[in-house]
Amino acid sequence: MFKRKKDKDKENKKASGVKGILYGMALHGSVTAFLRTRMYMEHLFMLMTLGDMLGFPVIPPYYSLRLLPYAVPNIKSWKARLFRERDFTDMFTG
Amino acid sequence: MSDVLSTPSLWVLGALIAYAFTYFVYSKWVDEKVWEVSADRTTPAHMYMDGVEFFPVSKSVLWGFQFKSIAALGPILGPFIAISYGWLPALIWIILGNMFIGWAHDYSSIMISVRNEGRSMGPLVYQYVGGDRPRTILLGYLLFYLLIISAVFIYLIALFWNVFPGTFLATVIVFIAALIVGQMLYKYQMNVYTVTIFAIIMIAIAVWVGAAVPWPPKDFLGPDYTMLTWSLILAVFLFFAALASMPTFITPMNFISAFPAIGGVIILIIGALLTPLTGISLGQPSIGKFDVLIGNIGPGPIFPVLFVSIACGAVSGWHSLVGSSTTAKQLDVEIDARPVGAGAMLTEGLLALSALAAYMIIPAGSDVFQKGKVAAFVTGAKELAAAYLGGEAMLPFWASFFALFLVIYAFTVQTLVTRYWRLVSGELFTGSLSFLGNKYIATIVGLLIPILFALSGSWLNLWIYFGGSNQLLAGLALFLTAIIVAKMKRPSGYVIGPAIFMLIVTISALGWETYLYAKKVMSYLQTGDVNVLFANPPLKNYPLAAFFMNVVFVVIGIILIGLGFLMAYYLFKSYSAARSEE
Amino acid sequence: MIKLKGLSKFFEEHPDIKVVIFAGKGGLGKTTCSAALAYHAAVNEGRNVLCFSTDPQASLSDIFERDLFGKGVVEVAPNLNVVEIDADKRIAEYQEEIRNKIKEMYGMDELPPEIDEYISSTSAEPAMYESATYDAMAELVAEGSYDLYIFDMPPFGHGVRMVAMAEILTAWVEKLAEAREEARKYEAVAATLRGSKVSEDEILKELMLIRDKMKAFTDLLVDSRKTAFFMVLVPESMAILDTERALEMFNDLGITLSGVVLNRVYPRELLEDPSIPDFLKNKIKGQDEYLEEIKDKFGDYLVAVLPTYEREPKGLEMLKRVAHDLMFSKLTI
Repeated sequence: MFKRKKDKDKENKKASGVKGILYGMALHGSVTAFLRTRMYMEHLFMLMTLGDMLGFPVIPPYYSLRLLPYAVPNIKSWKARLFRERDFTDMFTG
Repeated sequence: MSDVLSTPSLWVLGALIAYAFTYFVYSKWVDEKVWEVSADRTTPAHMYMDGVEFFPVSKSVLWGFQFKSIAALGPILGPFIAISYGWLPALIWIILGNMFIGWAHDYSSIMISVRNEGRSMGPLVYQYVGGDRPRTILLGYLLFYLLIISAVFIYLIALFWNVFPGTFLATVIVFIAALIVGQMLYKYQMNVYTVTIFAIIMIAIAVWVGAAVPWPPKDFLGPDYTMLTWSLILAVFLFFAALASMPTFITPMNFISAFPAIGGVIILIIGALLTPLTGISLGQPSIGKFDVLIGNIGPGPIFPVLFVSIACGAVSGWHSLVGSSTTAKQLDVEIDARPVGAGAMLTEGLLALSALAAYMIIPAGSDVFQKGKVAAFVTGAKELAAAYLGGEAMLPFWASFFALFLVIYAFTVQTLVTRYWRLVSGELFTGSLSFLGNKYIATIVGLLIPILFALSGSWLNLWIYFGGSNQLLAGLALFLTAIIVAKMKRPSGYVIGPAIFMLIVTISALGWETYLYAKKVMSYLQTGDVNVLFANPPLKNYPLAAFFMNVVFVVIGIILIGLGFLMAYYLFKSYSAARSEE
Repeated sequence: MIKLKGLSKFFEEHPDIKVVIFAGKGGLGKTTCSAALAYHAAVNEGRNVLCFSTDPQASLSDIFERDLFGKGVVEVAPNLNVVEIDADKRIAEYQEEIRNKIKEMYGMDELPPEIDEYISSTSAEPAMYESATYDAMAELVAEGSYDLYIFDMPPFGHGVRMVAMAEILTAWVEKLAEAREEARKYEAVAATLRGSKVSEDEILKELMLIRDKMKAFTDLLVDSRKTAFFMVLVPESMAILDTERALEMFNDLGITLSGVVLNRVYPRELLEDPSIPDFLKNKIKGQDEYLEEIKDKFGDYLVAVLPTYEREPKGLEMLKRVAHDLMFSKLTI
């Protein structure tokens, strides 16, 4: 629901067949690991900018608001994951 | 016909038929009748889609990922121990284990997570097995498990470097190639195909150098210090690998290692199937001795050792970590769980069979089996490959290839484990123990303890500890599944049977191993002779230290068994409660 | 007895001044001084001046005798431009702008309730008010259409807190941008591996814009060749104490205080006037004690002394008088 208008058409191209399998073997694990690292950074970033959304006063919200539009798609998952139990078994990346 | 029967191919083919039955009939039944999967039920990948942790991935990609993540050295080296009992028991266990336990475990680990918002093992245990205590036990268990895996793999890599001269140089070339690949991908963001070609060329060079320059020679520092030196060199590599930023080393290393890994597996499987044409025949007896103790260091009785020796080839707890932590979060539709979970596991069964074939063709009485020589796999695998790829002239090349194959496989898994250890330490150690969570200290601890372990026992013993703890974890995951399925008011028979079976064999195996060490400790106390202990050089020269390490292994065995029992107790309680709920 | 030089001397010595800021607690006459200086620079010197106020109590509207509040820039006399910002209105507009931007970006008709609530909740933050004011000031200066900018700083934290905040914010944005760059690298590699293109990081772009704007303004404010800070003070113990504190703050922030304007001083000559009531005479005598203290503490900073006027300084005529006193400071103390 939070897809940027211009991003709507270029949805995940889904690799399939042999190419998909090779990609899955050689790269998918790394891509997942990268994205996860990215996610942790994003969380930290959101906390630093929109922390007051969760009740941590960080900076004057005037500037947070300016960043808010770009963060909209992440807010739900960010909050969900922040309050979700994280566990040592979640850190395993296979 | 008798010609075909004397080659491994028919057995591999027979197993294929059994796996096909498992995949198309049995697992389908479980999929439809127990889990009642539906393409319409929203998976966590869609429900929580964030593009980073949760996002749908096509089943081919996920299959590739799952297979790559679960196929490690277990199925390749495991048969080495199992074949002591003759190849037939090993073959039967690989077939039946996969049919009734292995796939069910992997598939279920994905399903329990998919049906529970993509939660991984820890939170699931917390939710279904009664809160914090079982989860803490699981965490404690995992810590020991990680240390033991590390001990096994560090020991093996050092051993490979030592017994296959030239492999070290080849490995270093691969490391350098990985660093370059990292720069190509990361800094210059070059096209993946270009990088792939570069990676394959570098691997070919590494294999060639490994074959052409067999240096340094075996035991180049003498029998006492060579292994220790190799272990420490390896520790340095691992230290940097575990601390380097992902894109500099780990990612490119995973990338580059995928090619020999995939290639090696395909070459092995085809080689095994082609044996009637290539004329390679069985060398090993179908039935061997059932209570093997070669001198001091045999694996032990067929029950329970056989069931833990072919680690990931039949069933493995490692897979539940992969399945529940990553795969389940990216499963596109529920109906993909079977091709991904069951499909990848059955393929791994095939890999185990092909590896077994490599051992089966080694002539009876060959000395490669003496005293735990890991060269056995390479000896068989190079024959299988050279028979249809290049003939005799290529034997040294294939020997170098499979030696490198083993090292790279072990190294990528070990980097992952060391890194995971570091992350878990960082999370776990707080307050006054927070120095243990420091990333440098955690990494050093995660490397030095395993080296100590590795030097103190033979790898056979370590391997059984590893197999035992790994399969015990599988038993726990199966048990957890049984609870969840029972709560759903669905028949849990397909998992509870295997769960109980796995708990019995693994606790027996750990018990056996602990007993062996305890016996060593006792006889040392009686005789004062260091030779009665499990100790490799240079530890042998320090009787007290050797004695101490043997005691440590007794303690670890007791801890693993204790934690396993405790978990089983909690699981059983929750399971009965779930069953009696109306 | 000292005779002060007046502001005209200061401007002679500092010809490059582009921004003048009057700081100090509310109700001491900052707005009057701002307006008077603006009047002088615009009417007497013919410079294009913008006078800016945020203080809703002692307002420029009262002084210029017309409603300026929230009306944007108004030219009250040739070259004399005045703006009295309505921070609440500005915040509301800003919030609406953000709402619209989100709706437009994601093609939504309505905002998700939690996001809408979050945006509304920000109005309650006191810091929001400060930031909005500061941002308005920065924007006006960035446009650069005037020769001289005179700011009547809002009373909170002597106004100088804004400079401190700007420094913190700049550092904060700096750090964020760094973290953002690092995160982007990971994304870029993942994109390469997947064979897709990495999209431009608009958050980073936005952060850079915020940082550049703030940095430009803060750099200007701490540049003593271009910006002058004046404190306004009255001969009362609380005001003296407060000015002392402010002086410390200036020093901590590395800002040079250009001078102190002493306001509401009763001329001593009044004592000789027999028609003056006794209570006023006592007040004038009591003032001496404070004047001594002020000379003692801020002697070097004193640039001008303004008398207590017989009526409120309202209208251009009266402003002309105040401007003259401010620039040439006739009174001695």
